[in-house]
Parts: sequence; structure tokens; C-alpha cells
Amino acid sequence: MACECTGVAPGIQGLRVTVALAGNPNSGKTTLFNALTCSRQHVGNYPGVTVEKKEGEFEHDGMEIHVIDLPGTYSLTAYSPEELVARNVVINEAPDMVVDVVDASNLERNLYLAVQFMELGIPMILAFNMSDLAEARGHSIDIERLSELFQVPIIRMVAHKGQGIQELKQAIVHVAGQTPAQQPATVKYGGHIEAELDKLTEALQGSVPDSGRPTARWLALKLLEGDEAVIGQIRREAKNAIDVLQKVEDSRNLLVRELGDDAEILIADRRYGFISGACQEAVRSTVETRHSMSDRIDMVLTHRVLSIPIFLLMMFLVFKLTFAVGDPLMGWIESFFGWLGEAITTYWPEGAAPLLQSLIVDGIIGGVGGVVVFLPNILLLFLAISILEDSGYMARAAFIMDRFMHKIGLHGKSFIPMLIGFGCTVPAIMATRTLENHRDRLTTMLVAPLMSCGARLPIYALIIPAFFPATWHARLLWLIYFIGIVLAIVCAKLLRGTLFKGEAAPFVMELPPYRLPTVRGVLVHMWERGWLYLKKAGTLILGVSIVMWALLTFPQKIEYSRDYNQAIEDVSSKQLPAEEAEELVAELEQARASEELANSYAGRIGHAFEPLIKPLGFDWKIGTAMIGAFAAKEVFVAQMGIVYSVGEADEDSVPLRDKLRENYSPLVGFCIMLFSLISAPCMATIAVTKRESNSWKWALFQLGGLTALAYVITLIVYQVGSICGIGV
Amino acid sequence: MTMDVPISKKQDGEANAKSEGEAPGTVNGCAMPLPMLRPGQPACVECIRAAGQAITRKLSAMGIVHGAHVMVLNSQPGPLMLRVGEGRYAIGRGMAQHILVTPCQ
Repeated sequence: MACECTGVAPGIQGLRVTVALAGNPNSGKTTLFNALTCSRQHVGNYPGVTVEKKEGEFEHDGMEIHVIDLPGTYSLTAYSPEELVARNVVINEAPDMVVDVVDASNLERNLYLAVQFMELGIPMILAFNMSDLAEARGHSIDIERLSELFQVPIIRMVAHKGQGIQELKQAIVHVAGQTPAQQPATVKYGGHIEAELDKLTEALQGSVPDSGRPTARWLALKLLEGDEAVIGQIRREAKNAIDVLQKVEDSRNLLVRELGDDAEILIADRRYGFISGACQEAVRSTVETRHSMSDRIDMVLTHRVLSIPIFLLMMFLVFKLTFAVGDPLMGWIESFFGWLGEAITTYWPEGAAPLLQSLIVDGIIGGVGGVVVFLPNILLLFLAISILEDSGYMARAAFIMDRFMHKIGLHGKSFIPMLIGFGCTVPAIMATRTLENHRDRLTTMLVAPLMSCGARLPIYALIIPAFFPATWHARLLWLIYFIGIVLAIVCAKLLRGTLFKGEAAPFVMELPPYRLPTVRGVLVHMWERGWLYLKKAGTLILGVSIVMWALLTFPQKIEYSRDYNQAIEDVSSKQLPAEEAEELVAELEQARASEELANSYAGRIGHAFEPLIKPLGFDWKIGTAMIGAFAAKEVFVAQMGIVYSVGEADEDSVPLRDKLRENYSPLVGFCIMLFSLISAPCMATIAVTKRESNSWKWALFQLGGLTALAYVITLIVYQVGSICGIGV
Repeated sequence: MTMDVPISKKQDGEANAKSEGEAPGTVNGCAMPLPMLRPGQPACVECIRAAGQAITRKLSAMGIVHGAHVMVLNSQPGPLMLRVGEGRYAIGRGMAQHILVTPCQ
């Protein structure tokens, strides 16, 4: 709320400094980042990993300050991409200082990260956020004393109330002006470890980068901890790599013998020793730790009996918000694009470049509209997710579902994306970002399309009443959703047993204290994700839309089976009653559209595929409609309308249902639904999978794998059904 | 087979450290695996046993190290809800098995 932008006029030639903003997850880092940079920020991805890169700028005292928001981490080891990114930014991008946001109400653990930045030897400021909460919990922190012990400036702040922001800005300017830069205290690891560190530091002299960062001591420490990234770097770059790594091995063995524990445990112990030593001097806790408000809420929300119903209610509310509120908005956007298309058609100079008109109206407006139309749903869904996340409930949901998800080889956190998948697969795949483990994340991403999304509903709504008696409707719909869920579980298990084999990621997750989310925080969160969706998926979807348009439009020149223009003229000249004439003209135009479609590339592809899809009970018409369904699943319905020349068709179209009933058996109808459920997710899904997995390989694997699965299952169902005479 | 070596080595080390020479994991003795701890009973972390580097580091980063004060908050099956200082963590039972604790007052 409080936005503390200083009004320094741009153009003042000042010093420019870069600040890396670090901190534990849930320490209020994002709030601080937003408060510092206001709206002057941009979001991207670190190259090669799907870790968000946020940067921003602000000015203070004529100094231009560039802020890199490091991903939230607990530590700086090389085990998660976030931690590696945080570390590499400090080493490679050489910021002038680190501002480490510390949750003062959980001081010791938060200082663990601070100590690791201190080890890197970079100037640092500690921002003691949530100081009010710490005081409320009975911790009184002697900030001056602690600042002396750590040899870094410490700023007391309450970021979400805007307290301490000015002081922090002042401190940044002050630290930036210091020469030589102030060095934080060095953590001493005790005789045995220091001796080994000295040996390794010496061995590393000469293989340390000239920039002096990281220091030889830091490299030695990381080697001793068995840090894979640093070991790899030494192996590649150091001239005496074999010698150094041998020394590391010896030192590690020596420490195990002398101190009875692995080096990484010993080092972690010493770091905590340093922290608790400092805290004993500078922090006084007047109240014993007891059950906090948050614990009391947890007693209800994670109660062994109540947790599941509460959880289901929450999910129901999320859905309700996303779709009940979103659908009218979707309708408005849809009508806007419809109006835009019509307006262009109306004002388009008669007869001028009809192809260009078609490209703009059907291809571009249709394509862009198709993406933008999902925006309300996506924004609302992200709004709901942001509220759940910022309040702390999301972590509890993962905690509650972990037991069940574990059985199918997934992580508690996988549940959220799967659930979102019932709405739309695109945000579902984006929601897999909360999964830290790459294997869990890919598995979830690959099976998410099996959760039957909202766009498939029109297909079911068309088919089910066309072939089946009313009493079966609900049961069939339920069956289709159920098949999707079962397949998702089976596929997840299969993938975890084969491609993504390996130990299940250890489940450790922080359960942050419950907090009232701030309006600003939630909105910023929502907008960032929504914008990414629009920008990235939008460009690709636009491209593919144009290709789909071309497939449906070309080739242009076609030999009609009869002269439609002539026939239409004949009708007009025949002095028929207006109504009858209109009907005849419409019929003729539909017949022409149908013929054009049959002759288009899409139609030809449908024809070419016919032998392949015949065993599934499908003819070329269904094949063509399936190609359209790749653009967006619900397009299937409109495409069937075109091939059967029934004009504008939606899922309630009675003539289309009649046509379907005349031409196909209920078994084929069921197979269409089955195939639509399982097969190739829409292109937006493929695009977003590519983006989120950072490789075409997984996107194409998803496309190919699911289509193959759909083919096999539909084949079995159709063939067995035909032989047994069910529904033929 | 290869896994056994460090385990037994570490257990030896621990047995030496404690003069009683009690095998870890016994309920009445000192150290027991975290999942055996009664909910609500305060305890101290004795050591992290036979976990891989990844787990050890993750636990370290969460403040679950030798000497940390912990308490299990929940009793239902599934992951444990653990209190470590002011932090609250969900921790899988498999992983919790690696954490040896001694109940304290």
C-alpha cells in the first residue's frame, strides 16, 4: 500500500549501483521488492532454467539503484536451481551488495542464509523484516550488538507497513559510498576444519579467478562441503584439479575420523553455532515458545478429520471464483472480438483483397481472441492461488494431500496443478512451478492434460445427448472425467517408474505462518503470471492460429461440384417467398463451405488420415474436425458443423446431433469423446509445456505420447465394442 | 552393501560418544527416530543418520541440526508437522526416520 518512491528527477547523473535482494521464502522479500521499486520492474526467466528473474530500479539521493530480486532460498547449496541461481548471480553478475531480507521472528534459521552470503565476502545489509511480529512474540533484538558481531548494517523494518524502507534506501546509498567496501565478519569453523580449509586454500592459489570473487577460502569451503557445482568447476578449470580434489577427499576423510561426522554436517553445525552464539548475546526472549495463533489455526485446518472437507471446500471456492465470475467476462471478451471481426468485415472495401480480410478476421482476430478469451479465467485462477499462497494455506493443502499423492508417486504439491487442470491445462502447467523437484514437475506437467479441461466439455455436451438416453447423461459425463483421472494416475505411476525413475524427492516444506494477504501483493502476483501467459503463449498461439487458418483456407481455387453462385442467383430470380429463398440460399452456402473444407489442406489431411483412423471408427470428417480441435478443443464442434453443412453450430445444435445420429453409432460417439479426452492437448498446452520444461523434447513427447495412448485405447474400445456388438 | 558401511561406522561413532553404548533407536534410551516421538513432546535433535548429502543439507538449511529443539505437532498419518524454533515444517516420514532425537523437558 505504502509506496515509498522518492521523487528524484530523472536525468541526475549519479552513481549507479546494483543490489541483489536475497532472503528465505516467506520472509517478505517480494513485498520489500515491490515497495522499493514500485512499478519499475520487469520479469523474465534466467536462461536455461525456469526460475523467474525479476529486476527493478529506483533512485535515492541522486543514486540510481538497480535491484535484482534473487529467488527465495534457505541456503546457497547447489541442489536446487533457485539456490544455484542465487549464488551465481552474486558470483557472476558481481552486484555491489546483497540486501538479505530476514524474518526477524524466526531469526536463527534466516541468518543461516545470511552467513552463507557473508562467506562469499560480499558487502551486505540485513533487513530485519517483520520486526513487529518478533517483538510481539517476545524476542527483543539488540540490533546494534548484532550488527557489530556480524559486521554488517542491520535495518529494522516492517515492509508491508512501509516501515524502514527509507532507512534501508539510506543504508544502501551509505554502503555503496564506502571505500574500501566493508567486509562482513568471517565465520570461524574451529581448529580441525580451519586447518583443512587452510590446506585447500593454499592448494587453490593460482586457480582462483582474478576478480577475487569467489575467494579461495569460499571455494575451499564448498569443496569441503562436497558441493557438486564447485567440484565440477574445479575439475574443468583448475590446472591442478586432480591434486586439489585428492586433497579434498583426504580432508573429508580426516574430518570424519577426527570429528565423527561428515564435513557438510560439521560445517552446518558450526554455522548455526556462530549464529546462536551471536543471538545469545544480542537477543533476549522473554516468552517461552508456545503454541502461536498460527498453530491454533493449524489445529483446525490440518485436523485429521476436518482437514479434507475444509480442503475440498476451499477448492470448490477456487473453482467457483474462476468459472462463475470468469465466464461472464469471457463472454464479453468473446463478443468484443466477434464485434471487431464483424466491424472489419462490414467496413472492408467490397471485393478488395478478400484473402487479407479473411486472414485478419478469421486468422489473427480469431487466434488472438482465442487466447485473450481465457485471460479472465487465468487471472481469476491466479488471484485465487495468490490468495491461498500468500495466506499460507497452499503449503497446508500440499501437506494434506501428500499422503494420497505419494501413493501415485507424486508430491503433495502436484495436487494443485492437477486440480487446476479441470479448468484449463495452460495455467495448470504453469502452476507446476511450485514443484522444486524436476522429475516431479515434469511428471505432473505431462499428465496434467488428462484432467479433462473446460474446453472439452462442449464436445461431450454435443455427443452425449446425440447418442444416449437422458438417464445416462450424467453418468457418462462422470465416466469420462473418471477415465481421465484414472489414466493420469496410471501414467504418473508409469512415468515415475520408468523415465523419471529415482528416489522420491524428500518431502520437506516450510509451513509459513498464516498471514492476511495484502491486496497489493496479491494483485502484483496475479498480474505477473497473467502477463507472462499473454506474452509468451500468445505469440506462439498466434503463429499456430495463422497456420491453422491457412490449412483451412487453402488451396483457394477449387472445382465445385456445381455452380453455387449460379444456383444462388437462380433462387433469387425465382420469386419465392422471402423466407423460403433465404433458407435455400443458406443451404447452398453451407454446401459450398462444406465442399471448400473438404478440398482444403485440412480436409485433405483428414482424407489422408482416414485409413489410419478408420480402425477407431472415425471417417475423414471426424479427422478434419480433430485437426481443428488441436487449435482449441472446442473447435471440434464448430468444425463438425461445417463438414455437415449445418451452419453455425454449437453444442446445443439439434440439426448437428441429428446428422451425427444418422451417420455414426453410439460406440463411435463414445470413441470421439474418449479420443478428445486423451489425445493431443491443444496447441496452447504444447506451447506452455515447451516453455515451462524449457525443451521441445518434452512438449513433443507429451503430444506424441498422449496421442498414441489415445489411439491405442480408442482402438481397443472400438474394436472390442464392435466385436461384442455394444452400441453399434 | 555399500550403504551399510557408513551407517555402521556412524552408529559406532555415536555409541562411543555415549558412554552407555546404547543402540540408537531405542525408545527408553536416548535417541529415537523422530516419527516415534509422541506429539507435543519437546525433544532435541541428536544427529542426522545415514541420510544423503542432499537431505542433510536441506535439513541444515531448515535449522534441523544437532542440538535443535523440535516438537511434533500432529498425530495423523502422512507427513509430520514439525516445530523447529519459530519455524513449522511438513516433513515426510521417510525423511523423518533419518532424524534421531532425544526427548527433553
